[in-house]
Amino acid sequence: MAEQDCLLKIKGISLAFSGTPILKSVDLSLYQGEIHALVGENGAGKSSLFKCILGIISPSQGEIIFLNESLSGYSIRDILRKGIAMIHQELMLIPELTVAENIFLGRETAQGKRMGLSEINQATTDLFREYDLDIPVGAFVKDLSIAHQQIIEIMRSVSQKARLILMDEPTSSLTEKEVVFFRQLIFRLKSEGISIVFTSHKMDEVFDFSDKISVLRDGEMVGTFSKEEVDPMSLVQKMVGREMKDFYPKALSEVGQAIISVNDLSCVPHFEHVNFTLHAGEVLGLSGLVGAGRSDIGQVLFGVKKKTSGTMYLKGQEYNPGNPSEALRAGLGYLGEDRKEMGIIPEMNITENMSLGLLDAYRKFLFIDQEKESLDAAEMQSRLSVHSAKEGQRIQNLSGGNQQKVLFGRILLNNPEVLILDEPTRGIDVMSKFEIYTLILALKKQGKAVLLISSDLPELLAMSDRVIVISKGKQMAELSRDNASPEKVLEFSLH
Amino acid sequence: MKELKAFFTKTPTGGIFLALILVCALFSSMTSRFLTPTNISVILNQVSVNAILAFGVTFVIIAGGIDLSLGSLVAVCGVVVALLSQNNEYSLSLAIIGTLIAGIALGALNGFIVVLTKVPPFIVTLGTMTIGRGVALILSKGRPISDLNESLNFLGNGDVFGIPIPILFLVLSYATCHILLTKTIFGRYVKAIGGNEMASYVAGVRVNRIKLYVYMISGLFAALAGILLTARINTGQPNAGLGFELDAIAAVIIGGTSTRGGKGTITGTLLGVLFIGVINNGLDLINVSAYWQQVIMGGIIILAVVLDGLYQKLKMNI
Repeated sequence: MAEQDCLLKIKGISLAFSGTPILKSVDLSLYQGEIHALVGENGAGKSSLFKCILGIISPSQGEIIFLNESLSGYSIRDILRKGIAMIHQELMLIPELTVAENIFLGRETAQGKRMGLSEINQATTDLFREYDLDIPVGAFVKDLSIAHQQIIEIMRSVSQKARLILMDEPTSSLTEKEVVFFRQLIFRLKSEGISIVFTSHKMDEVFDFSDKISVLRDGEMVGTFSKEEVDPMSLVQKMVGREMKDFYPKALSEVGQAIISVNDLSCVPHFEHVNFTLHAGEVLGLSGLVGAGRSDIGQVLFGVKKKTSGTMYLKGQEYNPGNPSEALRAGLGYLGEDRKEMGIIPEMNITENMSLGLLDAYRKFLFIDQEKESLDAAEMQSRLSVHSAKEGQRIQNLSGGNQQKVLFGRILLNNPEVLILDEPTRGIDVMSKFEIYTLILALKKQGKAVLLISSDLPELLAMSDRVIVISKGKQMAELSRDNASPEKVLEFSLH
Repeated sequence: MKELKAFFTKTPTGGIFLALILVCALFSSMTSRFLTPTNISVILNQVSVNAILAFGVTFVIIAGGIDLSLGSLVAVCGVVVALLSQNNEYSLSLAIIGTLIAGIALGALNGFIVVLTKVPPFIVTLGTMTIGRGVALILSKGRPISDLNESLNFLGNGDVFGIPIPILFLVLSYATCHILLTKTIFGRYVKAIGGNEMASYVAGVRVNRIKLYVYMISGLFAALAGILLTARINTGQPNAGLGFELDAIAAVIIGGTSTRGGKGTITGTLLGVLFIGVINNGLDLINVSAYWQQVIMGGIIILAVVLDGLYQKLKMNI
C-alpha cells in the first residue's frame, strides 16, 4: 500500500516502568480502512501500546505519527479530537442516562449552540438508521445488554468522527450471536474508511475479522502478518515463542460410575426440565448462548441458586444444597463465570484467596494455623505454576490467567469429586489456557467428574466427552463427542 | 534508620502514626503541659469510650457495613446498667453481664434486619438509632437515673496499680479485637465479605452469619462503652452518647479503614482515636475555644483522608 494511505505509524517506541522494559522498540503501521488484530499473551504489552497511542502514557523513546503529524505532546483529549478512540473492555457508559445522552455526553454544545434533548435524540436516531441499528435511543443504558452497550460506545466513537478505533478484547463478553452482529458492524465501519485495531485471545475471530495480524511478545514486535502467511497454530507459536504440539491436549480415560444425576430439574425462569447424568472421569460440556440458562444449571448444582422443581442425586443420594457451603462439603467445586464478580477478593493475597471458604480445615483452637495454610497454598501455587512477582502479592495485581489458576487452587485444596467450571478460560492468555486444559484432563484422568460450561465452542468440543445444548432454558440435544460438530451445536443453540 | 523508614512506608498504619507523632511534637513545642505523664493518662482516659466504640464498629465497616446506632446503643445500655445497679438490687456482675447481653441483642437486631431485608445498613441503623434513643427515654422515663451501686462508680473512676480502669478496658479491648481480626477465621472472613461479598458466598463463606456477628460485636462494645460512661458520671443518662457514632466512625476512617470495606486494622483505629484525642486535648491546653475546636476537628478529618490518599501514592514510588 502507498505511504500516503498510512493512517498511523509507530516508530521505535520503547517504554519502561521502574527499570522493567514494557515495550522494546516497537514498530507498527496501520492503513486506512484496515482491521488489524493485535495478539500476544497477557503482559506482552498490548494495553501499554494502546495507552501510548492514546497519550495516556508517553513512551521514553520513539514516535507516533497520525495523519503525518507527530502525536507527542498532545493530551488525551487532543488525541481523541484528532480521531483516535478506544473501546475499553470495561465499558465506560453512564447507566442512568439514555442511549442518546450517552452518545452525546460532554458534547451537548455543537457549533457553539446547546443541543436540546430532542436534537440529541434526532441526531442519534439518524445515526442509528444509517447503521441499521435497532436500539431505542431513549432507553436507559442500564437496561441494555452488554452487547448493545458496546455498540453504543462504538457509535459514540463514530459520531465523534473517529478515524481509528482501538478495541480491547471486544468480543470477550459477547455471545456467538452477538459476535456475528459485531462482525457486521466492524466491516461496515471498515467500508466507511475507519480503521480498527483489536486484541483478542480467540484465534477464529482473529483470522475471521482481520486484514493483518501483529504479534507482540514480551514487549517486542514479533512481526505483522497477512492472514495468508500464518495459521492459528503458527500464530500461537509466535505468541508463546516455542512450539506447541496440539493446542487442545488429549487424554482418553475410562468413564466411571454416575456421580451426579439430574432429574427433570427446573429453576424457573432460567431453565426447565433438564435431565443428565455426570460420570466419574467424564467431561460433560454445557453449550448454549449466554443467558440460555447453562450458567444457572451450574449455580443450582452448587447451591448458589435454588431449584424450583425436580431432583438431584449425588452418588445415589438425594442432594439439595441450601448454599455453596453445603455443596462444598458434599464434594463439589465451582468456578464462577465472572472472575471479578464471583471469584477473587482483590485486596487479599494468593494464599488468602486460595483458602477462602476452607479455613475450617486450618482451625487451631480459635485461630488460623497460618503456617499450614501458607504451606498448602505455596504447594498448590507451584503445582499450578502461578507466577507472582513477590510473596504476599495481592491477587488484583496478577494477570487474568494467574488469577484463574489461584481460583483453581481454591477448588483443588478442597479435593472435590465434581468440578463445575463456568467459562474457565475467559479472558486469559493462550499459555494459561493451555495449562488449564491440561489440568482439566489430569483431573478427568484422576476420576473427577467435570461439568464444563463455555462460550468458546472449539474449546468445548475439544474438551468434552459429551455435549448438552441448552437454548432458552430448554435442553435441546445431547451429542456424543463424535457427533458434536460446531454447526450442529450452533443450530441447536439458535433453535 | 532503614527499619524506621520501612515501618513508616511499608506498614498500612505508618502514615497515621507519623501524623500522630507530628501533632504530638507540635503541641509539646507549644506548651510544656502537654507531654507529661498526667496529661497522657488524661488523654487515654478521655478517649477510652470512643476507642471501645471504634474498635467494635471497625469490624462492621471492614465487612462493608456501617453502624449509626452506636450512640443510641450507648444510651440504652447506660440506662440499663443504671437501672440494674440502682439501690443495690442486683449484684454488679449481674448488672454488667445483663447489660452486655442487652448490647449484643440490640446489635443482633441490627444484623437481622440488614441480613433479612437487604435494606442498606445506613438506613437500617439510622432507623434503630432513633428507636434506641426512644427506648432509652422510655426505660428511664426521661430522667437521669442516680443512686447507683458504689462499685460501679469504681469501674469508671477507680484505678488498679495507678492505672485508671477505663484505660485497662481500652487495652484489653484493643488486644481482643486485634487478635480477632488478624488471627481468627472470623476476622479473615470479615475482610473477605467486605472485599467481595458475592465471591465470598460462592467460595462457601456463610456471609449472613458473619454479617450478623459483626453487628453483634458492635453492639457488645457499645454496651461496654455505655457501662463505662454511666460509671464515670455515676448516672444513667438517656441523652448520653449523642453523636458518639460519628466520632467513632471518624476515628476508624482516619485510621485507614476503607469505607468501601475489605481492608482496615484495629491498630489503625487506635491511632485514629488517639489522633482525635490528642488534638482535642492539645487545643484545650493552648486555650482554643470549644467552638473553634469543632471547626478545626472537621477540617482535620477531611485533611487526614486526603493526605492518606497522597501518602499511599507516594509510598508506591519509594
